[in-house]
Amino acid sequence: MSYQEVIGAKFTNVAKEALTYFYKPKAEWINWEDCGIEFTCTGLYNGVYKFRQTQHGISGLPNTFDIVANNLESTSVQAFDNRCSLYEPWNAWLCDNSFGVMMFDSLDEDRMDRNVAPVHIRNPDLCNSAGECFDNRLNSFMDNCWDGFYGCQEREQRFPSMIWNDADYYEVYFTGTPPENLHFRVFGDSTGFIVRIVYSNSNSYAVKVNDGNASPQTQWNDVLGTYQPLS
Amino acid sequence: MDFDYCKILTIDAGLGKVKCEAKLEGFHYGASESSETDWGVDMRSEIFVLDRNVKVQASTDDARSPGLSEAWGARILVADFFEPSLVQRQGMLEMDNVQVYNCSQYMTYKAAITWFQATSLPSKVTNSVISSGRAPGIIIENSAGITLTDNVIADFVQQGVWIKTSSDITFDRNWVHHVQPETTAPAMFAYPIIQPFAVGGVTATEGTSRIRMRDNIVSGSWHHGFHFKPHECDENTNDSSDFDFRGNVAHSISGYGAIALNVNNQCTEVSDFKGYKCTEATIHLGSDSGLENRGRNIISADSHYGIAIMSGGGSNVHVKDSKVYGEHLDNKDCPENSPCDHCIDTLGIVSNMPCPNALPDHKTKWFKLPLFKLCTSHMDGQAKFEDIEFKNFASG
Repeated sequence: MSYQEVIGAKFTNVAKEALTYFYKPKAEWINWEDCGIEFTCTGLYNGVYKFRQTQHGISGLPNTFDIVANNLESTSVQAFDNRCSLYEPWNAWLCDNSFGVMMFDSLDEDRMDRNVAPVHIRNPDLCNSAGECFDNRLNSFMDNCWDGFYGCQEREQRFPSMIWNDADYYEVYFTGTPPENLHFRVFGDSTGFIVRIVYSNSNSYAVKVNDGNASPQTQWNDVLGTYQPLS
Repeated sequence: MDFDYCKILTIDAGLGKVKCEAKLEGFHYGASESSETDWGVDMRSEIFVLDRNVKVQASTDDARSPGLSEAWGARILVADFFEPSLVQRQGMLEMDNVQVYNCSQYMTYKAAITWFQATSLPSKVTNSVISSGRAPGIIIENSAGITLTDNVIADFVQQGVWIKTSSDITFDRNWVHHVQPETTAPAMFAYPIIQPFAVGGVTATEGTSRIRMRDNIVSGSWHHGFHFKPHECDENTNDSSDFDFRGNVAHSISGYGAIALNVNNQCTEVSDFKGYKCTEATIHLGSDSGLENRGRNIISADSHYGIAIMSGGGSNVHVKDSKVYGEHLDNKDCPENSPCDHCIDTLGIVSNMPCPNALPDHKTKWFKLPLFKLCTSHMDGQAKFEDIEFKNFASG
């Protein structure tokens, strides 16, 4: 449910509080068989619903808007208090039309076996009026199956994160050793941003686009003391 | 669903009044005009006449053995077979305006009418009433060339109509009502743990082909109203399609109004279906489609999960040109003094719950419903809802 679009919907005799409801992930999922013992699974915290060309008679609600899940365990949508406001009956935030989802997967062989979470998506330049900046803590997916009485300890290393489309960059911190191969996708209207991944080792990495070809090597930048960032 | 028999004492044709011998026990919603304008479906109670001049009626007073708890219910069996002399007998049935009453045997799969390996000659049953049995109403197995139109099939156990490994079956404009999973009234959500697909209203997906199922109504069944095969996206199904499922209505189902069989199309679509007051979703689709699972022209009113089109195997979801409605308060779920255990919330559309593979298309254990349960370990596949009308949702 991470990213969904509702286009051209018509609401007749529908109360504002009945428009939607976002369930939060259960605290009971914090155990070895489900989401691990540190924190609950975070997919439900990162849902973004985009409503476009909506017809309704609900006062104070625009025709085009986003609804973003209320993440109780991170500073994610909370960092955008100038664009979003919490609406308790939905357990979600009513936002302007500028949000989306970045989803990234490990493509390594051990993608179901080795947990790299928690993963933090950060942007210290995106801060709310209280000075809290974007820091979205993500867990990997729930255990995938049962093996008799036991969980089979297979947890997909896929991470949806809500994002603000117009950010210049996001930093990705894996608390485990980062996967060698990652696949990034962005859902929404973003025209693009830079993803900085903090690796624990010094290595050579290639960035490939949808057709499988690698992006050209960027030039060395004397001022930065490193290679020019991808544009 | 409330189901009552009324033995008519008097009829006043001028006033349009019927007096029953005994008071009806259930709540039956009625109105002078259809609720279709405001609610997308006509929710008024269905009334049908059981009586026909030609009757096939089971005896209720034959001798019982110590091992037989009740009288043997008759059944009509249509089959091709060989005599010991190797002479082939070819089975066929033609019935019009016939009442088949009290047939089918308790605790067996001997349905009131059974076609078994009847492939040589065509059969046709029209305008008939098949009712009040203690086992499934109709079973069609390993058979072909059967037409069932404009019939009432009511008050049976486990299945109203069960079509298996059969081909060239036409099932149009029939009413199937009150199909309990057990002979004793069960709890609202529960059904016995038995073989897959054994509980439902109309089930026609196990090894079937060339099924035409149009403009039928199913109500008061468990697990599902219809179990059908979905078609490829944008396909206009017709008489020669593998499964032509159009214009059907399911309501008052303890489970799903309709469940689409899991198939292997690149893009799979369910369309042209209406349902209301289902304790799970009005319609469910969760095939492992490469590209998309799609719902189109669906009307759902006052069902717990509304429209449930889900991503299987990373496919996307697209629901369009559909309408969802909240609860019609005049048509009460739990009227005063009724033994009611099914006052449940109403959703218009349940959010997409992606599964790594296809979602289940049936569950033998009732407590494992809904079908998207435990699909929380994937979350690939996006959803688009286009031109959906939501009406009459008064509260959150």
